[in-house]
Amino acid sequence: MRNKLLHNPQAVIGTLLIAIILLMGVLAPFLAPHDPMAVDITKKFLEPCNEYPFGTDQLGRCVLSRLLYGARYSLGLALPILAFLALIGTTLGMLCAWFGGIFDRLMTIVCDIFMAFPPLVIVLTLIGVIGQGAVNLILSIILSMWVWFVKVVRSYVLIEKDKDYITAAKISGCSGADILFSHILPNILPLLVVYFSTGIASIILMISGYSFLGLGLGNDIPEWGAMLNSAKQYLYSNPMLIVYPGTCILLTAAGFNLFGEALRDILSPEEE
Amino acid sequence: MEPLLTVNHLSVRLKKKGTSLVNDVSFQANSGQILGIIGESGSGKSMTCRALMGLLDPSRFLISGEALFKGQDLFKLPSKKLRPLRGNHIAMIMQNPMTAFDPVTRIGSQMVETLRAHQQSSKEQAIASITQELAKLGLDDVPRILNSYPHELSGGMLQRIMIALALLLSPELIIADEATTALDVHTQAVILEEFTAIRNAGISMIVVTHNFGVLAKLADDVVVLHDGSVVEHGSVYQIFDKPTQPYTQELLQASNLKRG
Amino acid sequence: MIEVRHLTRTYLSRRSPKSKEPFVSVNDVSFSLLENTPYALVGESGSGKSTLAMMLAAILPPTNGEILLDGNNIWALSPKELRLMHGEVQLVLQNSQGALDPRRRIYESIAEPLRKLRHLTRQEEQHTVHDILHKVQLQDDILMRFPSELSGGQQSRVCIARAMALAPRLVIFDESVSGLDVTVQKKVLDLLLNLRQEYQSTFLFITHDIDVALYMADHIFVMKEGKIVESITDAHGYDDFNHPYSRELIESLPPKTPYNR
Repeated sequence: MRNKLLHNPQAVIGTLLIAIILLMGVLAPFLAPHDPMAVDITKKFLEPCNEYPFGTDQLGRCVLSRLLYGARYSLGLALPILAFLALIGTTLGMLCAWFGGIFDRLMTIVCDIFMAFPPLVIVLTLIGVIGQGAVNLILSIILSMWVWFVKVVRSYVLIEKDKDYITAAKISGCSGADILFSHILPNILPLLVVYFSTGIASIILMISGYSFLGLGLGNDIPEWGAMLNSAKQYLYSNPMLIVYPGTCILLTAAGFNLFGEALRDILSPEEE
Repeated sequence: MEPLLTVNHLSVRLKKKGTSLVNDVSFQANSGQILGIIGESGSGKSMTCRALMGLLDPSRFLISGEALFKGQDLFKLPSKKLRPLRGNHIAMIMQNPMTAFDPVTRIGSQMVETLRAHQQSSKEQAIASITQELAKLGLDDVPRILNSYPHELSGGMLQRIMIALALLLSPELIIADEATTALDVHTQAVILEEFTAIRNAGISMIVVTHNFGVLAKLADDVVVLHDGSVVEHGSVYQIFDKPTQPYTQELLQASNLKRG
Repeated sequence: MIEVRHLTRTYLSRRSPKSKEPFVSVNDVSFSLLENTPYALVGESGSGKSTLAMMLAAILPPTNGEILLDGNNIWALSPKELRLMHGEVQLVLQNSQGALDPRRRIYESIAEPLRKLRHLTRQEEQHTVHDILHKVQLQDDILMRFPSELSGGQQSRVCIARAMALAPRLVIFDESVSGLDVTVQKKVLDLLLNLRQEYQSTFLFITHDIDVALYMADHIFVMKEGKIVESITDAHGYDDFNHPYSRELIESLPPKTPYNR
């Protein structure tokens, strides 16, 4: 398994990108040359120089420092969101698929209703009602995405549940919980990991996307999407202010996507 | 007895790992007779047939030896010449008829298309000869069959359609790879009767199977394969009455379950 | 020991979900099996034999009728009692590779029923697993392997070991050897004959192959389209079958030698 990962260029690039972003976030206080929030109007729109390697923005804040701290926001929001989604998706998906019946049918209807709305509509409405802020952003992204996770887990369990080894487990005296947790879950886990790692890429895109639209965090916060939002007015005068955070978002999403897809290739049965 | 197909020193290896799948196999199929090839899984029997039909991907498999069909070496023929040979002179019937047909095209159009790819004939002529051939094989209600999709027909019916298709091309040699394995005993019996009729019509066959009963019913000569090599080669009577090799004896004994 | 009364199982037709006519897979089947006796049931695909096996093994509830184990209707038991009943009634499936959890080592697969259904100490459990492993003629080294690393014959033996480790009173074999090569099949069948003697269990051997049925049991049922059409208590050869369907099956068999084509 580890060998296969090392021999897969996609996986290696993906892992490297993820590692870089993680390091950026973790080491931001040590790497950042300035306080990312420190405003100094006198130094606005500075060209890259020794003191400000990536220059400064419209309020004279150090762009490099803001980018480094931005990794914290992207991952810091995306990881808890993913954790909740994974928990909700796995629990409800497994229960639906296992018990079937009315519960499953109700759940399917709820899922279909949620899926009929684009996530943006759900998030817009929620933010409109409960207001901006990190917690509210997390909540609304979870609310707009949880049904997809439930559906995916449910379909994986449904496929697994019909396999012969599940029948064999029943004959071996396993209870429903035994089968779900000690047979089905370990067998679908690799599939879930793949789905979750590509899922985190879309969550990161969502966070930045909503911040860009002004639905996420405030403009003062060094979040990549928010940075894009405030830089868009200076597209022609200072295009680099858009390029830097855009590249960060792109590389992060690409890293998780590459990793997830490589994982899927590695885990899917080889043609012999 | 004149050999129609002579296979000399056929070996098939996996290019990547060098694993030998078929190892120095030689036999001959006589004109107007049925040659039975028997073996268990991993014996190389399917690999042998697929090598003969040119169905092995040359980028993955290394084939050596020769297969002389009426004096022409099948392994040396350029694909341009091999293609008309397949179908017109050598036809193949596969194990799983379900996967041999295109699932989204009606049986009739698939048959017409195949027939017209090999023969100069109008659509109407093709349908007429297909109808005639299917009727000969004891399938009633031909129009309904031609109008069906593969999944609407039983495995036995599809297998008979495949046989009809092979016969329509009036080949000189038919290779049947485990053609009755997936079928129930009734359908197997019907198909085996059809093979007997094909032989009586003067067409030669190579029947590949794991079932000695099929050979007892059909074969003139038998090749016993094990682990990619020929264990024993002789007339069907020799093999059944006086098997000389321990493996043949074990195989015969295991196929003929007797208590005590 | 086990008595089956008017057992019926219907499915709603999948091909045409609009039609209300259900498909009858097992149709009013009644029979009884005695303690410590081998039985065989012959049927072609679609005869309902697998559905019958699943109902007997308490995996699939019948639509109608009852299965009495020592006089108690098993489908009237609580889910927990039903689960514990698997200590006495076991089923060995056809696809032995599929019947083994691909992410579990062989030891875990064989030990699982013991853990769920028998209360053994670690040591007793290990002892039982090794014991049954030797009885099915497998070596210790396979215990730490995964199912995909085993040959078809080995997988089939593992599945037999898993069922027999419980020393069950009834074991149902649903086409358990039909995917194997004939030489391997013969060895597994001989192994089963010995195991049955040793454990004094009742075996119900479900197969499409009349020769296998005759090899395994004296008492043979013939099943067709959901019904048992013939039950022969003392079958020794083809001549003992009388029902027209059984005769048809036998006449369809390929000959044993090239002399009687």
